[in-house]
Amino acid sequence: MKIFNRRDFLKTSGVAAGGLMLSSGMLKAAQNKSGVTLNIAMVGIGAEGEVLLNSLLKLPNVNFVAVCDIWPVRKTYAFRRIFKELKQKAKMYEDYKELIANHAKDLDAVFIATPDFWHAPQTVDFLNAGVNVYCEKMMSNTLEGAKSMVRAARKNKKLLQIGHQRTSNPRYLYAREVLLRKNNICGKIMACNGQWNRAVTADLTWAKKQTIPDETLKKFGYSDMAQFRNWRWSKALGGGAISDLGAHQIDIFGWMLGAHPSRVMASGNRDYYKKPDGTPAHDWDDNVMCIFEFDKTFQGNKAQVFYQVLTTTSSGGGYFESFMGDKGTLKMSENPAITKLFRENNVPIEEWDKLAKNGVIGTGDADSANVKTADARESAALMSYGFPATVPGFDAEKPIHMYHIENFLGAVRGENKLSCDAEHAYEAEAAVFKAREAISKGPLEFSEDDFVVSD
Amino acid sequence: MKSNITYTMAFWLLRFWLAARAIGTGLTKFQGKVNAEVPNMEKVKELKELIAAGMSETEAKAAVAEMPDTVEKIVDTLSFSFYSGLPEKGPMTVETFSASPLMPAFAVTPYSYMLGFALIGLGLTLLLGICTRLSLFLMGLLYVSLTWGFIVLEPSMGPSAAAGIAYLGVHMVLIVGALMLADYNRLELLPCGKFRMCKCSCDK
Repeated sequence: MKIFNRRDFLKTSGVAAGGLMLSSGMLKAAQNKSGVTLNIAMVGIGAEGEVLLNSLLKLPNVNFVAVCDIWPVRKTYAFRRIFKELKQKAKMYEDYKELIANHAKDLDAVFIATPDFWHAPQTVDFLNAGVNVYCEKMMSNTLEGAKSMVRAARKNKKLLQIGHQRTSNPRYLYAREVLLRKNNICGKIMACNGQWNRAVTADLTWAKKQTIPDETLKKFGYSDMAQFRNWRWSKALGGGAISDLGAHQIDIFGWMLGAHPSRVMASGNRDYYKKPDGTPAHDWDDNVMCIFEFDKTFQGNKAQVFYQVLTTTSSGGGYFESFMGDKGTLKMSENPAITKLFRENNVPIEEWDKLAKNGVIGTGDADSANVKTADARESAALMSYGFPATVPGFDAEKPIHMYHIENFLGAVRGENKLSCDAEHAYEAEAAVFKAREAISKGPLEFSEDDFVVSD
Repeated sequence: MKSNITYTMAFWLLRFWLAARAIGTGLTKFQGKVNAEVPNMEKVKELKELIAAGMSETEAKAAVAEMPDTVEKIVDTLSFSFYSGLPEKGPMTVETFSASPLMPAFAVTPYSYMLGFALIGLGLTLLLGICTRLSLFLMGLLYVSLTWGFIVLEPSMGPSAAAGIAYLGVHMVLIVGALMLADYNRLELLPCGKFRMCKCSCDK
């Protein structure tokens, strides 16, 4: 006799309620199923996996069926956290294929936070086994891998959410819909810039006692423990800073502007992190700067986006994305303390005061514009404004990834659509890969003659 | 020997304080950092928490099995190999003092070798009551020498050297006070005047 599991319940109740299986595989039901406990598994309990775990442990109606990691110390860490906080005993696996073989039929969803090169095979295998997938970005270390994930989601009519968590963040949704579109607060956005600048960090190490045996490392695609710990810098396994950090923000530029970039130029530099022999320590660039050109944004005009990701300095206030229009600038960040609005001086102060009074934006800071100009051609400093004190759905106490996970679990329950499905995430994937290609093609070269006036 | 329990207690307090100060300061001259394997308290804590959360002891032990029993930690330890009478870094090194025209350069290195042992030795003789007056007097001389070091460095170090001089001055006051109360001492291993070699004119 077939055991009637939770996934069957979701399917049955969804269909019984007159719901339709959407192309994305989302269960659409008339009734609210937020009370339905979902069986989930986690594959990859590294730094990012732990971030997801922290959020998942705070959510109701989640049953951890299994956790998987090739590093025993991380796998058991997740097991212990889950037991201590939820009294649930998750099964532990080293190989995700065993997890699929033993539990796929009972699973509603899996969270994948492994190194990039594992994303495509693991996601495809879980989707083929009928499990909805939340996969961390980048989708894959190859475009083909990313495409295979999209195709597997389509073929299996299952959900595939990619971890660009900003698209579920109420503050970002508010900025996109209410500020940029409804209130046109920036006016015509002709340029954007963004950055993720991170201070110098040493390569990750590990306790000798926790070294994974060589045969296990080889079996799962790593040459040694150092590569396992620092896979992000390896061309064979990860994508470097432009992928790890940049992909989030490059995705946001396209999402906010409502368009795909048309062209990109880029420059990379790996002259900082060195091996003892003086050669670059990492496969990928330490620092990347790029310019994306958009031919038609949601406002119908062209726009240029300058983006930089630096791993040699934390200068410039960490990470943000700025949208610069002729009426104002929106400087967005996942960090509310960095988020600001700037009013261009051609906009009457009364206009923005009215918006502040109505709670659309926060109050202005007159001191921010109190900067003496040094040149007659210099524009006067802009007055800054905060975000409104309350943004619908935003809770300052919530971890920033939780909204995206809630969105995914809501979609699994048939309550909402995914905010970043694989079809959308692939657009950012393509932009990042094209930027890398632009780096490899290289810029125009100067010769010494260019700087010398001959007789 | 005079008898007054209040004065005796006052002397003991000074004796123990000055002994602790000298022994402790001397021991720090032998202090250094080493990598050591120490019990992994995180593992112990985790085990307790799992059991408290309702897991059986057997299961809990299995759940923490991957955690190492010990972890490498940098710990402070005492060893002759770390000995350094004068600091190896900062403004009070052998090199700094040797370069001063107010110091006999030839004596600086021997002084540095001797300092830690002298502090511990005098602290122990004072604590155990071995030739108490002589110990106090020699300790006073040692603090005079340390004070001289600060005086020499005062032009380059400024107020912090002046503070050091005042700080050692407090020690001197305590030593003088102890000497003045020494007649009320009790519990001595080797009282003054027991041997010919250390006979003195104190009121025994």
